[in-house]
Amino acid sequence: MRREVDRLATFGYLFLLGLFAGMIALCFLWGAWEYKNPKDPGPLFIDLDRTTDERSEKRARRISKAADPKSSAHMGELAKAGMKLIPFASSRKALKVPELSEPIRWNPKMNETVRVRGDVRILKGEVIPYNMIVEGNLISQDNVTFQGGLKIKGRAIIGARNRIKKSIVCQKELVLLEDVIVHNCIDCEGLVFIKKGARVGVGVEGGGIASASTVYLEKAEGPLKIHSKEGIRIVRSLGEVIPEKLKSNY
Amino acid sequence: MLDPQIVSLIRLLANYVLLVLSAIMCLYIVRHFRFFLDRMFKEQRRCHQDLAAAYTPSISILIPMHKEEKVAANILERFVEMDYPKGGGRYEVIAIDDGSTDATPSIVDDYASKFSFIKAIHRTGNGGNGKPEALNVGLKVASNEIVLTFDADYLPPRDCVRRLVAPFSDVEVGGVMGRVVPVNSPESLVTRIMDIERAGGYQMNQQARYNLNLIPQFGGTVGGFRRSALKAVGEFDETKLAEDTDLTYKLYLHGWKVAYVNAAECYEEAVLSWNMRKKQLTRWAIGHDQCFFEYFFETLRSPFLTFWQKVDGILLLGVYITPLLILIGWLTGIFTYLAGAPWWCSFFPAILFIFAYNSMGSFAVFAEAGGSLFLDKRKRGIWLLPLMLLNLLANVWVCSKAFFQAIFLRQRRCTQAKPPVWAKTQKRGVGKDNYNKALNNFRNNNAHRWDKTERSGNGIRYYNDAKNAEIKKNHEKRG
Repeated sequence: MRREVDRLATFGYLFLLGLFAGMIALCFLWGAWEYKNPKDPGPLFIDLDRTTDERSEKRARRISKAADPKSSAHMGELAKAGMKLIPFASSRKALKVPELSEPIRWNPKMNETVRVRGDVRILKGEVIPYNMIVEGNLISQDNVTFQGGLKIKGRAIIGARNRIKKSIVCQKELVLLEDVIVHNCIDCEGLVFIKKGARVGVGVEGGGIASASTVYLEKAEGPLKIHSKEGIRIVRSLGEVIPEKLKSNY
Repeated sequence: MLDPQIVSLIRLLANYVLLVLSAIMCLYIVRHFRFFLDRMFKEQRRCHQDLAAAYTPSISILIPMHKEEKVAANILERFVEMDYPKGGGRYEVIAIDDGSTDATPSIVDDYASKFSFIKAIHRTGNGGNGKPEALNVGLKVASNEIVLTFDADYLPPRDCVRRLVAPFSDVEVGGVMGRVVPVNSPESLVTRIMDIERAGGYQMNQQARYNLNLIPQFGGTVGGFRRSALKAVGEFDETKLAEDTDLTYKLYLHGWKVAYVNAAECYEEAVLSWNMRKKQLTRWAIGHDQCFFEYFFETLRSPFLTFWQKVDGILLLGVYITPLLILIGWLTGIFTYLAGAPWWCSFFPAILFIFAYNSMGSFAVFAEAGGSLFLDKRKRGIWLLPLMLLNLLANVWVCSKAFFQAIFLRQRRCTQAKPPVWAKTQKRGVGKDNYNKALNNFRNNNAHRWDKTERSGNGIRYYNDAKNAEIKKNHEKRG
């Protein structure tokens, strides 16, 4: 009896071992089969003559509308549409930003680039000779010249007649006041509000506006391309659409 | 015979080693599954790609070449056809012939004479010492702020440069990386495995790291950097065998970011044989381990990195050390099985399944590779995944060996390049030279010089086959 039980146990053990080994072998069998008789030998096809690529853009957060003529707006033409200009609302419930909430921390290894931790307000007529990374909100007053580009991790209000020699990248809402000139690009994760006379992409390197949200135009000039996930809206006055939190005390 | 107390102590130690290794591997499991879930089910970040059509800053493209006669013309042709404004010095292709003794110099000269935007550099006397040195020479000639680098065996599509350049509109971006796709995957078992590994590494891993704002890596090719950023952190370190990883960490530790652009796909010729794979992997592993020793503590201390970036940075530094940990885990596991479990074994079995799960090098990596093939609509390729175990076995051996070689290199550097500050003995200042000599000997003896990666030059043929198949498939679809 005992011998019978032992034999059964041995048989069971061998059976399980064989089953386990078989299952492992099965995995390799599929691999070996595909290797010997490939249905997908590769390579992954990339069209070397392409200019856009659906595969990468299909699941993208932003859908590029570069090829769609409806998504491009000629701001000069929009201006000709005869939009009535209403002065920018001057609410005092403002995005309150101190002149410099923290002293600028220079990173000497980052040539020509300065990083500001916290909010910053730049006073009228200043010339900023470097790229700026602001880890808070930014307000610039009138006639400020940025010799470099801007990266703002909070909200930004760019004052009238500011000149930005490179690009603006903003992770929240962005407001461009009258006659702002951006030589290259604007890429914004939030809403973009553009007042009359603003020009973007005037530098030799070209540029345009990209937004993951809606772009509101009041009246502007200059040819440019706008790619916006949620569309472009032309408004009579930005004051009608701009959120309270962005009505600056600037 | 050993004292039973000593045996017992060794047994206990082995169990704790196993416990620690399992904990480390668990971190990698969580990391890779996090990447998998993010890439498969979340919306993806595209780095300023909406601006790719509009923004065209001045760029210099560096192509280091060493005995690349089979592929040199192909890549230069691709850059001639590139969709990018080429006038006014805004587009500059610099072909660096690094001491080639084949037909590469004449091919390069031929293109340079035909096209004004192509410049040829010939290094005849002291060339062939590796890619970082060639890149540093190229940088002296490059005249633009944005610099892209490509290896000579690469075949970029026409939109590649525009896509790579777009992220530089963000002033915080110091480097950018595109996706590498092997073009010769049907050529051998190694190329097919490389194809899967590359898919997992880029389509899944790099994209997820970029989505999660972690540490996407500059890979040294199909990528670029801001020249001022490189200048700020120093040139390419010629003593490093992985100058790309080195630059990635330097950039992050100085406050820059690296962007990953999945849409900037580019073909490469993958290595053909296990022997070539071994050499390539050894070079990568040693270079990566060199960076591990250099940047481990700096990464932990950096004021520019977030907590999760630090965690990811450390795990990324350790990726070529994990095969060694797996090997130690296997050996310790066998020992503990034979020696018996200690008194705390009552809770140890609870984690045994994790160890078993990890014993094949963390299946999360396989999930990543499978997921990326799924995203690429190459479901049949998933059948090949089990064969990646061969790659794991190769990794365990090669990377474990490379770890000790990296320690040897570091030791040489420490003892010869850094004199103790208290010593009054006059130094001759030859430490660095000796280290470089040792490094060069090491490179020569171990065939780490980059000319050892042979190219078959069949990339174009495989591309044409793939294109014909695609046309046929589309034709059949239309009925």
